[in-house]
Amino acid sequence: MRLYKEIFGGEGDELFSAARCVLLPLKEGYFEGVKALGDFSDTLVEVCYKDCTLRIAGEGLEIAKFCDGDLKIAGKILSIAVEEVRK
Amino acid sequence: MKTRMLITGMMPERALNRLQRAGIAVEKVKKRKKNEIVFTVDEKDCEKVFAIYPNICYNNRGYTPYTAQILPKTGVAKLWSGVKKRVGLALGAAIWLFLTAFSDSFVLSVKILGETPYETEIMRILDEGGATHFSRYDGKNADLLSSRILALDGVSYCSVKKVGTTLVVEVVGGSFPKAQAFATELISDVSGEITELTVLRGEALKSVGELVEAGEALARAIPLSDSAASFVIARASVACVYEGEGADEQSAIANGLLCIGAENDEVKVKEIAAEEWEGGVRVKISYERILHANFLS
Repeated sequence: MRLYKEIFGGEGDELFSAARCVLLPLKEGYFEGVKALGDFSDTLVEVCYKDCTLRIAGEGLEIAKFCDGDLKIAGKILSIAVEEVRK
Repeated sequence: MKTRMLITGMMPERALNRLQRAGIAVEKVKKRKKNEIVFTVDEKDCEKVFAIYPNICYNNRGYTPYTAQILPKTGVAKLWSGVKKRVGLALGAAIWLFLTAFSDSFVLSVKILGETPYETEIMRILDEGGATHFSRYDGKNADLLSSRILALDGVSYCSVKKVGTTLVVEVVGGSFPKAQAFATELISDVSGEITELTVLRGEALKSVGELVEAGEALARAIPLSDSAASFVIARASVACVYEGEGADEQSAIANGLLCIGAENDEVKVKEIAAEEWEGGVRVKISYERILHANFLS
């Protein structure tokens, strides 16, 4: 986190108070600031943020942990698409 | 401990969202059917889940969009749950497993087969070889133990093997000592005068008062027949004199006693005399040498 704050400078605080995700390619993904889970299956998970929805496609996806807006999706994540932006 | 739960209802993802907003951490979420999701929560959070989504089977207080229920434990969790309920049984099973897995390498009893007077010696050999009661024995030194038991007098066959937790030692021939070679002559190893001669078996070749040379026979066995073993039983005393020289008296006497074998019980020193002689000392030791053949004193 400190590294990101140094990279982004003063914008760091604002950046990290918002929704964000960290992806470990072909392994798993961590999502913060999640408002809700949409439909989910082994191949597709919908993650709803305040302003957008992510459609995460992959293989063998599983909701490994979900609590207090933090979500961990295990499995082989192949793509993440921003599905909808609400104005 | 974790508990596996099932939530049933239309669009169960919404139930999941409500649980996480309530601070309940849900893990390993899987959609079993379109209206069923299975997940894992901490055991302490079960009550919270039921508070939000009651199980209508037990708490029918009206309409609820979702119902929750605890799934029976599977795998390790089920096993652990069973173990906690039956501690005594689990402990017994663990002890039984331990015994069956490891006690086979222990020696719990030793069995000696065959008539043998060497039971004590065999047990001592096994003890030295590390094959005693309640010791671990892998059978690697069975040959060594067998050879040591075979070295006992009269043992013609021996096998050491482990059958289950019993060490079986089979001995053959232990009750029959090997035939000993008995002396057929009483031969003098010193020169001197015979002072005593007793012949219990055989015939005397010399008599008391006669002089005898080293290597000469004093008595001999009488042959009974061609096949029968004959031996002599005799005892004799020979008075001998040793004469020697030395640089000083002490060394001359010590050397003389050493030469006659004075440390043996069969040599009795009678008299020691020393005199100066040509710059040195000359000693004269009178002693009695006891000789015997097959004679038990």
